[in-house]
Amino acid sequence: MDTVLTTVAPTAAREDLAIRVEGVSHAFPTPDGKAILALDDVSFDVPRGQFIALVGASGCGKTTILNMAAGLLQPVAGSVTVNGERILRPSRRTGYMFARDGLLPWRSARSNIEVGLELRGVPAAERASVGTRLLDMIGLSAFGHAYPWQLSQGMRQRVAIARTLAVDPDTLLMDEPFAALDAQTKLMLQGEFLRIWERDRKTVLFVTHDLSEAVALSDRVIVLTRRPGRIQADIAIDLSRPRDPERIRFDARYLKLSEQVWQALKAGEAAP
Amino acid sequence: MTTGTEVTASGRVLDILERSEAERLARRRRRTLSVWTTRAIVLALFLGAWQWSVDAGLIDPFFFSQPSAIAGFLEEEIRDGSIWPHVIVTLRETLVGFALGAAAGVAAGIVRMQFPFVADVSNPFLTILNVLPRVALAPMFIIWFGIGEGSKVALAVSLVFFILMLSTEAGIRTLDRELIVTMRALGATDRQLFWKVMLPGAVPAIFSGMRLGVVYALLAVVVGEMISAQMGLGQRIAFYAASFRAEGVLGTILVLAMIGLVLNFVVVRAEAVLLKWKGEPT
Repeated sequence: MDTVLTTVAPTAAREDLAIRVEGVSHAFPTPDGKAILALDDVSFDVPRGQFIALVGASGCGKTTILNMAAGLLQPVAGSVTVNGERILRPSRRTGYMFARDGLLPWRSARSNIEVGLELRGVPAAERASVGTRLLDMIGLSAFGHAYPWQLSQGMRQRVAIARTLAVDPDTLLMDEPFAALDAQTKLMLQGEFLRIWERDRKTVLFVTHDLSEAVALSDRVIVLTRRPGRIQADIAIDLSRPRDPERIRFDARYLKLSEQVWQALKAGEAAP
Repeated sequence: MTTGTEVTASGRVLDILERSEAERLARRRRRTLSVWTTRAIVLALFLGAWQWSVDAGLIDPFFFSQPSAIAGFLEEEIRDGSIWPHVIVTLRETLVGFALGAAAGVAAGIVRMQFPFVADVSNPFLTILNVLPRVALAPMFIIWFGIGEGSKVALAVSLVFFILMLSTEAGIRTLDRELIVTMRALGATDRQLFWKVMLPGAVPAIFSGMRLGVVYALLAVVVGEMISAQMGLGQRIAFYAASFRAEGVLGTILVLAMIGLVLNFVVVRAEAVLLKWKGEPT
């Protein structure tokens, strides 16, 4: 299978780099005390403002890369720098989102959105105004006082998005943030998220196993091989913005790119 | 099909649904009523059978007393007011013992979860103290704290402390990992993680410990009073038992049951108010 088209994105100037992954290898201990190689010499750069998707079979180490960028994990070899700094612990300039919303059940939607600001010691009045603005942005103004159990799955994930954005991070790390939603809600939230993102274009590192999601949302898709993860392909997604994930599904260019990513993924799974 | 018939058809469906819903509610009300009626009948049968067996000479009132005798005893005690000082002493000992034991237990649970070294060192000692039947310590407590209220409070503390310590620790330990990872990624420091995630997350477990703890506090106080005391309902029970007054023992036990119910109710209410975020009562 040598038909994979590999379009490497142009290397950005150093000051425009948001994330640099350099020669990263990582291993995990198995229950019987041996080590298993999860990532093998992975390198890529993410220019500031780029929306980049990492795809690959489960266990290929895509979440591991994300955890390194978040400072939740240190690579065994190589380095991950965000905004030119090595990340040793979670940075307050980075926002992180998971498949599960992780909302604190004893806090209202508003209070959950404001929690990141609270951790940073932002005064209550300022927190409240950010909370109001974000509740409005995610269309949940009427639900500020609702507890998480009173919200639907989609609403909870919206609150989680707002919570991540409330601290105004310059980099967003997202680990299958829409994976737990049903197909309809997923499309809707992807659309909403894109609209929000297209306003200020923060750097996004987006991990997913959903190819259509990766192509529909991102500027660039990196395909990892099966374990140990290596880069199989680095594909630029040159679809125009603003995009509507619901409509783009029938776009010819979109279908062509999806096919390309799909082929790369197949090749990656067959990799030795 | 015209639109008109569709509207009436859907209107009919809603009507039927509404009716069946009303019927369901009525059925539930009828059931609640019959449960309460049956409970009352069971209680009346039990008390009636007891009363009748004594009247008929089937059982000896000297050992078993009689509902009417117990009612008469309580009426007398309440009328001359002689029971209240004892109720107050027992209640005070229980509440003070519970409050001190619960506060110390929650604090110890927090400290042990925050500092694993402290937990590891203290584990064997606390385990020994916890498996020890605390009532066996009652004579020592009386020697140390006197036959007044202090020794009863101490016994209650020794029980409540462990219950609350263990439930606080369980609450912190079983907290959803996802919440901790999310908050850490949001930039929470260890301290913030503790105060804003772990502790509030442990509140439900702390409350279930408190429900148990308040009952055990009452138990400890009554046992302490029965062993040696000048005042209190436990002391009264021991006194009536020694003077072979079964109606006095049973009547006082009934008062204790009432106190237990009230204490339990207060904790359950506080829980319902504080844990509104949990939604439907569990």
